[in-house]
Amino acid sequence: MTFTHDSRPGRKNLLIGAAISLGLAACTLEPGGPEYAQLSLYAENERGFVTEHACTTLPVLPGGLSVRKLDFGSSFSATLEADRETLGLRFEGVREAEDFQRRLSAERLRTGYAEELTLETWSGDVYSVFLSAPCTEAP
Amino acid sequence: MNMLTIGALQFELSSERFGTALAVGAFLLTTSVVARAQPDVPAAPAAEEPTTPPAPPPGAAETTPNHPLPPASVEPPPASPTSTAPSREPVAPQRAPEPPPAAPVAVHGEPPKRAFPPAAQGFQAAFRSGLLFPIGDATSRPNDTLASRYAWQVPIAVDLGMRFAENFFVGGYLGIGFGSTGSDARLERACADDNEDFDDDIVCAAVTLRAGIEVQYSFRPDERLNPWVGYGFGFEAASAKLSDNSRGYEETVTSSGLTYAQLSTGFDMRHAVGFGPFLEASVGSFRRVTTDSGDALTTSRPIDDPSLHVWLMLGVRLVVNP
Repeated sequence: MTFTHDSRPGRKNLLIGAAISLGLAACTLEPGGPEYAQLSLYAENERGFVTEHACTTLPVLPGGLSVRKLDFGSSFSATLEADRETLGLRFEGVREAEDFQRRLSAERLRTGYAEELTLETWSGDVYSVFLSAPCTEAP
Repeated sequence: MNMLTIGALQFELSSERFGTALAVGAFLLTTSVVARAQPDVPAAPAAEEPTTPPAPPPGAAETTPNHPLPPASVEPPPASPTSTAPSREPVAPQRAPEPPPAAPVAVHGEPPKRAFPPAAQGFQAAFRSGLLFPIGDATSRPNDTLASRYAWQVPIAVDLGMRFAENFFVGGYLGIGFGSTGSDARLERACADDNEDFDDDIVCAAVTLRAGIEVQYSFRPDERLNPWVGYGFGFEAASAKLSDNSRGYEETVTSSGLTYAQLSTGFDMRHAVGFGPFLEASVGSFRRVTTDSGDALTTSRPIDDPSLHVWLMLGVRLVVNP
């Protein structure tokens, strides 16, 4: 009695499995789309009062320009001006405001950024301003 | 979504190469089709006044025009067998001359109909379509070309106005173009819908709008083939939109400005309506940009570094009252 093992069905199944694997590898569940560059900003005063988180997304389309002004009560304000390459941040109503101006590239924001600023308003109130990228919430 | 999907395949249209080849081919094909489609209609012969022969005198035999009256009462002498007088050869019947070709019959005194209408007067309208190509810069910033923002488009345009003095047309134009976003590398990546789930997760589109006043001059307004040239100026705007439906983000950037010169030329095959190809170059620049971003912000600012660009349009037009 001889026993012969036919390897052709096994080889065929292996090829089918490889083809399916390659096909699945080519598919992705991710829709793609743009890589967003964002900056989150909020402030907290000495008494623990925390302002709302403001998330600013840099424009994706060429030529886009986004300007946003944030008012922190009657104490001070922040202006964010962004195109698809850079985001500029400046404060009004605080002492030595020019020291707290920031100019951040979209690339830096995409890779991650965090900073805390301590500002003193003209009325003497002290605020901690928290900057971070990306935003924790959806754009 | 700026990706053309056929079955399981996806390929990207190279806006510059494919669009240029398609436009040139469409222009040549349209010109040849239009030239071949027009039958050679012979010009109507000039109307001739029907000639009325003078009334014959009373009693005379009736004759057809141009036929001489037979000699009156001339009978040849009887032939003599021995007569040496030369015998008269029998008169061969004269063949009546062929009548002249029939002239167009006038009905109630009206001139015969032309194969094409006379020069137009009064209201005139034209409908145009074809392909629209971006050329030049959007702004003076490095690499900010018009083609990087907007791909070629399919435009629809209308011209409305008045014809006067046979050769001149004065009126307004309005055009809208539809297409996709341009060839900017980051923009192409941003607009790529990669997951092939046949849902429009990422949608990118572009629209242009142009409006203004124009004047056209027709070189042969009374002929079957009428070449013309035109000049106009007005307002233009181009808008690009990105919709990221998977993340709930939308952004629209609209650049607007002036069209300094819209130069156009073409020719019409004139029948009941006019039809023919045309070429148009609109020279302008953007002066203002308005951005609506996903942060519910709308920002409108003047453009500090404008630059000239051209929208080149190839197509065909249909003229009412050519």
